[in-house]
Amino acid sequence: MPSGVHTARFATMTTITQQPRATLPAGFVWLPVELFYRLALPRVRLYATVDQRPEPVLLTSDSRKLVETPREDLPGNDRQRLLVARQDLDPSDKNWLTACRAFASDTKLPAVLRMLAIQTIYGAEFERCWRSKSTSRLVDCACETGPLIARVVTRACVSAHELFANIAHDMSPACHAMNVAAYGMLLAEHLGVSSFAEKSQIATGALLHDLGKRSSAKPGDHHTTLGYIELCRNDKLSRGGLMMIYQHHEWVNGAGEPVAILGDEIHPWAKLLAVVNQFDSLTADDGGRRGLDPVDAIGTLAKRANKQFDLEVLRCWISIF
Amino acid sequence: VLDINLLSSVPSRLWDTAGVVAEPVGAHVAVSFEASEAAMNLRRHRRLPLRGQLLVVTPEVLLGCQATDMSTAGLGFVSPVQLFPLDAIVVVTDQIGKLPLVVRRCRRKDAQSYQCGAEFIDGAKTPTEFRDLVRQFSTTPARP
Repeated sequence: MPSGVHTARFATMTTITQQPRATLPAGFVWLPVELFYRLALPRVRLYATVDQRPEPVLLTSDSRKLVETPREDLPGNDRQRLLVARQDLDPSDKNWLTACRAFASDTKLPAVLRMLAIQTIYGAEFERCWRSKSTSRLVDCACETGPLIARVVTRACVSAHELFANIAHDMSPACHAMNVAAYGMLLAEHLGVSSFAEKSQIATGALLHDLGKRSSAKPGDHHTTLGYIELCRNDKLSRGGLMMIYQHHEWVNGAGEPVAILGDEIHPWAKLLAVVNQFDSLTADDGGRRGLDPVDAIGTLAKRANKQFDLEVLRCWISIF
Repeated sequence: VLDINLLSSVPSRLWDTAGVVAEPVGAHVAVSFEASEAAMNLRRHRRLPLRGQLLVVTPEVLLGCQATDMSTAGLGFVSPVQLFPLDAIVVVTDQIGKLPLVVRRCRRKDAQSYQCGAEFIDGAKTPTEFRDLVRQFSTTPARP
């Protein structure tokens, strides 16, 4: 079937709305304003983007003074998120993680803001573990973050549009892992996964899916195989989670990597991951390249239905948007 | 259980199909000491094309497999099921007895078979050990 036919069919399945997204200035991360109002966080400098200026403007050099400012008086374009310089965020300071856990567990807060806090603070910790080369630390971090994401990102609390518009989109390992885990939660729920334990395992597997990219590969070694080898003796990961790591680049038509297995042999969680992984890769800003908008990304995915991606899983992902 | 002649207890559809799957090297069981120059340049361990039936024992199942090549580091074979990296297997033949290996690679070859590569669990063989092993393989009788 010509690829254009697939695209046309998918376009009629659902109305895909364009989602605006703010550009994250280089060297900065977003944090929810609410986080600073509610919790005693380590002191950091806070910035905001004002009007059309590309460079963020310093609001205060001491984040603890923020509470003296009424929320409605906050300057900037975005009253829900403030910017923190990436180097000011020290994930080794346990206060950050404790505050983030408390914030993420507060169900009265909007789920997108809770997810944003997880992405930024746990993302910084994930990045630190990623660079440390310690597999056990990275797995521990993923095993703690996965259930948090599974609890926050549920279809009742957040839509795919909201999620897309509010989280960061870059190709750093942590940002990509967090996004894929969050999208994976939404897709898993829509595909009928309801058990919290299973969702936690899917989120953990999604966080670790590119673990093999840290290893120095020999020619012919695929990062999926390297990741599987690193984790297959680790009892903290379920069999499904392991298959997500090993099989997420398999294609349903048998043209994938590393084994080239056919659709029926691919674990359902790996099929799910394949879709959201590709979606996030397409929509992420990579250096100077601006990521695709969701509509264009979905169009690209649709061309690969029944070749790279499982049709039912892809159809479900498109219906979510 | 490990008697290779007890063929009825082994899922052996590959033994019927692998003769077509594997590239022919002449006799049903044959050893060639020639390997292509290009392949040798890329590999640390020289591979010898090899044909012969193997019984592969995994913790779950006994598999009828076809050997494809051998090097001082390990053995290449075609399996009827997918094996995973770091799976511990034991290869059994009449002549060699049990040969413990650990799977390194597995790639689908066609709808019914997977090309697998496995390393010797006790490390690379010395040239003498390797020569003996190849000789033993070459004298393994073919399936009647």
